[in-house]
Amino acid sequence: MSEIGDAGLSAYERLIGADRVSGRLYTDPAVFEREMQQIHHRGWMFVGHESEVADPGEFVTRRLGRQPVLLTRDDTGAVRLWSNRCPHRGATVCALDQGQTRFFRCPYHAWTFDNAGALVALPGEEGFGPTFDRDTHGLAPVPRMDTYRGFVFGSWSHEGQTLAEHLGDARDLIDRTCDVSPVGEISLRAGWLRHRIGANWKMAAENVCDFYHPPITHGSSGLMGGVPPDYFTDAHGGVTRDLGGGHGEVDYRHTQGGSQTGLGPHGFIFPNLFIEASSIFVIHPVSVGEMTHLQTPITWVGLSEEMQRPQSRRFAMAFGAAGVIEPDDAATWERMQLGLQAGEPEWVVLERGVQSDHTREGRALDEIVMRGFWRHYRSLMTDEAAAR
Amino acid sequence: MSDIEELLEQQRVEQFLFLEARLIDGRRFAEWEALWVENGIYWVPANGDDTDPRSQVSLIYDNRARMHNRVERYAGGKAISQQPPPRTVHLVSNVTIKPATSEGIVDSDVSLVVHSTVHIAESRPGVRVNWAGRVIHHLVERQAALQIVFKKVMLVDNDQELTTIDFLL
Repeated sequence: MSEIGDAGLSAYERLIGADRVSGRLYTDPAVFEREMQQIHHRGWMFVGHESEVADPGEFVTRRLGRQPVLLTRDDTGAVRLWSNRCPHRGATVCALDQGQTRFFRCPYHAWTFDNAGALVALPGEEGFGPTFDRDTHGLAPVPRMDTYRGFVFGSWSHEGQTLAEHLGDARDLIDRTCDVSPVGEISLRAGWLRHRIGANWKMAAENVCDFYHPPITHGSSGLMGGVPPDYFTDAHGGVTRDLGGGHGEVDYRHTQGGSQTGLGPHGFIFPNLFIEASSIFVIHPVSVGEMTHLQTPITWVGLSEEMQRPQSRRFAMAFGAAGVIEPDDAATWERMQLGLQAGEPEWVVLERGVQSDHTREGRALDEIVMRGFWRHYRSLMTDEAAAR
Repeated sequence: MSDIEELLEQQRVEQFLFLEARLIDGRRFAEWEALWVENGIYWVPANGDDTDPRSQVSLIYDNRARMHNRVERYAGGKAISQQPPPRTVHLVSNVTIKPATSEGIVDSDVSLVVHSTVHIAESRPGVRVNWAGRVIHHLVERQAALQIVFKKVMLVDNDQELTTIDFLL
């Protein structure tokens, strides 16, 4: 089987149909390389939340696509996003997951940067000659950073859509998440569980709005007891909604009893953010057959302890590498990664509810959000302007 | 306590930890649950060993009800991640016993604090993982038998990305 990669953009037109996609998109390393170039190292991606660096000097390290980044709050209170890379010889300037500091010092030659990225000290500076300019040797900012209601996004591209354009109708998901709080604010300071899974990142992305699977995949979890027996059926009345731009949600607000899986919305913001009703998940691609799933519970500022506590309890039981929900998702995706090594049949089928795609809304179990994901994915993977 | 008494006590506690390991590896979950007192806590912290489990995420922070739910899922035959179940071998070592009072524990329900280390070999299809950690047990004497009040497993890599842990540590 030949590799697809960027050997002809038209290949993606053929591999991504209206109601089916080729299994090779999950298994071909060249596809993964092209995804990094066209999606993760180009467009907007969620990187963290302002509350994680609430105080001056606080920092967290993350990956944006495959690249290491450093999210800081400087001494003036501004949130900033840097390449975690010494501009001298390239070592990471910060080895910790999080902390608080005024200075980052490279371990190699002790080039030292303040938390606003400026090079403030280096040994033997005079040896670099009179023309050496500290100002051009500071930490490299990620080309674009922007925030929406505390959610921090970064892009490795100097140009392109604004964050507001990228979020589009998905801004509503963030608004509804924040507005559970009486003061409209969330906080993510409980730390992240980081789960390494032997499966392609798109399986986690597509799974977000797949309400066909929970009673089956998660039937053993004991957590289904809290929802009505028909909750994960079309009859209960929930709606899947394609929000455009690869984003989507499953909405139960208008059904009897409303959403019963958590306090906030349940939706996906392309390509890596899952707002899971009462928690935040981030999907980090690692290689074509590996991802890391990051998970943290939401704390709503000003929300009563009685409202908050059951959500924290549910998170503790369900998620992370040792939860009772997450391992079954991971095992399923790992089984898919194995099964898709079989080249026949060629297609993964996403037909459920395809007749209502023109309305952008489907029944609870329909695969409309997945089809919306792939439509957007195809437009990015075949974007020749970016491919040049 | 005389030297002989200390040796016997060391032997008794070690045998208790070995029994727990044997029950886990043998998937004898009901017997494992019976080792616990009613208000027991099973804790596997994440992102460090000395976090606050009420405000920070943990890999596992189970009361008895949650422990029961966990092992029921392991035993139930429905969980996809248990098809087939992971096989494990626990190696328990470096067992050190301390009187609860010497550790500053005032809970009268704790008689002994036991520090140990554990090395776990896990096998499931296509995957072999070695897990290791320091372990603290708080034990209580009930009708001449030991029971677990509190168990904390501090995995050496609990601040790293981890693969699925769908077995008892």
